[in-house]
Amino acid sequence: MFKLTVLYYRSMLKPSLSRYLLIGFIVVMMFGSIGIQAFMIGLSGGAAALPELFFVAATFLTLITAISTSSKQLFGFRDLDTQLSWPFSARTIVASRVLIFYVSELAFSALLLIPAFAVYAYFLVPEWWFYAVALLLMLVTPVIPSIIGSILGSLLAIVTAKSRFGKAIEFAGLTLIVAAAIALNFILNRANVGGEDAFLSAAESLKNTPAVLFSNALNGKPSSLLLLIGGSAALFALFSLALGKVFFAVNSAITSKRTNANYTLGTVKQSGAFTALIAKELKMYFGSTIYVFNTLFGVILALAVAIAVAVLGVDKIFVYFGVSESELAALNITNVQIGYFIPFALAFFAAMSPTTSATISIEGRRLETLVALPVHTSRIYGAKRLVNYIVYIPPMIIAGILLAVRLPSEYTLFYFLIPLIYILLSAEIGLGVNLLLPKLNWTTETQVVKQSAAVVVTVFANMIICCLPIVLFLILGLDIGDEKFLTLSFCIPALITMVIAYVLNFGAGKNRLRDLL
Amino acid sequence: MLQIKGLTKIFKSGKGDKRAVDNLSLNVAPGDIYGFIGHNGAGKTTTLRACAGVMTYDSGEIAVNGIDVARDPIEAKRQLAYVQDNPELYDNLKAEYYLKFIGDIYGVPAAERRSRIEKYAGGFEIIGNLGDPIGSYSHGMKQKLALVAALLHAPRLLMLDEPFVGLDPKAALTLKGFMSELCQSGGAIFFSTHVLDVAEKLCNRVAIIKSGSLIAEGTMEEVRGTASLEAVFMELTETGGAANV
Repeated sequence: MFKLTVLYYRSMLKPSLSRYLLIGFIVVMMFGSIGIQAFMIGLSGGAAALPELFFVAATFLTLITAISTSSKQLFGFRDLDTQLSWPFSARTIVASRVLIFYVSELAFSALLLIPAFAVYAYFLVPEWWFYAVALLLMLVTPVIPSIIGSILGSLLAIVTAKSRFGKAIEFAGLTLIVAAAIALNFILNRANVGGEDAFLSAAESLKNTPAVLFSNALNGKPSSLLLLIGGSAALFALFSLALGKVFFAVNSAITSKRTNANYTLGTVKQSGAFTALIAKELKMYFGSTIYVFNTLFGVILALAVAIAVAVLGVDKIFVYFGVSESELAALNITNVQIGYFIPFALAFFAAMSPTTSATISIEGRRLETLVALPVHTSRIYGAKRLVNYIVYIPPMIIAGILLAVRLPSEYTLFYFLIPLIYILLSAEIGLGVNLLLPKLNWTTETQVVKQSAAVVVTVFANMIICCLPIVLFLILGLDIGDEKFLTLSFCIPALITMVIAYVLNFGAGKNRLRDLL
Repeated sequence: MLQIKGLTKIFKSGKGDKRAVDNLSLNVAPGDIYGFIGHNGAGKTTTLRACAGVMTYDSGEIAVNGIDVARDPIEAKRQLAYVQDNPELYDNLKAEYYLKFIGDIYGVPAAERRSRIEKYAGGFEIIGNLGDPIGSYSHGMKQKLALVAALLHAPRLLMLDEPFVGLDPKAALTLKGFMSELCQSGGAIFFSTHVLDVAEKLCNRVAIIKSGSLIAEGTMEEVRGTASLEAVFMELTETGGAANV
């Protein structure tokens, strides 16, 4: 089992110093950003409630990722036939997939819990055994949600595999889950604004949930710790055994495709080469649930912000992002100025995970088929960019209209232009990073869409770029409502977008696809 | 139809450079069914990929129907079709859509497209499966679909990497028929194979490559002489090779 698991990770990680440095940088950045959030909560007096709150967040995050990725991670992986031909029992192969799945889910839990435990320890200086218990709790946290999530995700995949409307059902289900996750995030942020009392009341409200075991274990109750570990281990063993029994039946149900027994060649329609490329890109994008799911967050968050602004008004909106009125007052920011932040917030969400950051990697070994076609690289890139525009621009236009209804009408144009330019820029950054850090030899789409270096680097690069105008505003004390500031916030990204697009189309990117083969 | 002059491809790595193709020259004329034979790792696929414009090369010249692959890759690619040994197609797409995509890319008019799909997909007996996602296809069916897609734009040069691997005997016979037909209409075929019997029966010209260098090249009769192609191949590749015939 461990041999297969090690083989999986060895195939994912090329032994290269630059790659390890990059991974190290990404890990530090991720822990840093979560750590800052935890520290802010600690400063607000909520350090005691941190472990429970982050446990709930980690559980929820694990549940969502398990629902969305389990059908791809546990089943339908490309090298299943190869592995079955090796002298391993089917049970061993299944166990290795469960272990790989658990490790990837553990990464999400660790991302939230390590900073939470660290900040808790910094503020409350617990006894030595806390660290050992914390480590054990971190290891068991993802077990139950990933089991529940993988059962739900697999059931969803089975139901949708052969249905004519399978993809639509799958997207609707996933959209609901994403919306629920965002709603939870807003609720937690409101608690954040409420200060110590809100944290304690939030922690109190978790007393009737499994979080109480977590909390008791951390507070030195061995029975709770043993129950949590024993229960999780038993469930894990049961799940692995049950999965071993139903694996092949579920695998064939998920991977089987709906076929048409009575097919006859219909009318053959002709369209242009570029239209064909775009249509193919769109079919590839919408054909991959995990790919769509990864971009849904940004779209829904941006729309949620715009709707909240239109319904609640601009003065209430920052509360939902965890910034209290007193904190805003301390920064000397007026409501009118807040209004000007909103387009940047939309840009931030829309630019977070562009489809282009995985668009080259998702081609996988098919890249050779694409490169063999008589089309210019710039047209291939163009079609790939366009998918990003189609996914993000229409919702941002709706969001812009919603902002225009409620915010000052003086700079209405910028409500549309600011998100738009960051969508264009993020698409170029995503494409450029993916061309530099492609992952073509994947076995599941999850490896490309959620775990590849290109996607993570793009998220961070775009987060930094979108936050830059706001940071400059805060540091330099600029007037964000100033027309010059807004114009520059549009023109500088526009210039960078054009430069990157030129380099990709006519410079270093021109022959890059061939170099990757 | 295909002229290769002094083609050299070097794969660079930290452990040292590997000369995959070394100063290779050959000429595929219209009407030729040209077999390209060699051991695994001899440089056959690298040569085919360089000719198809999917791989850059270090030196030499490749021209397809008089068009330089390095200078005008798009126009060169329009003249040819290339089918990999293990076709990687888009599993999420339906086969009919994949054929539409290829037809649109090459600008094949709708009427011609329909008649060619009927002819080639009908010939390979997959026309009833064109409404299915490619992901539901077996390896052999994917191979057939890739061949239909390759023939869809009536290429002047058809380049195939191990085309008979994965095909059932009937489909292999059908493919041989399509290959002969293409050559009779003035096209040419350049294909790699390990199946020496097929090469011997099908090809009018053959080249044997070893460690990136051509060790024999000429008409089938010139290369094999009075012996079988298999005997010549074994002798040349075991003994270190001979000069070009």
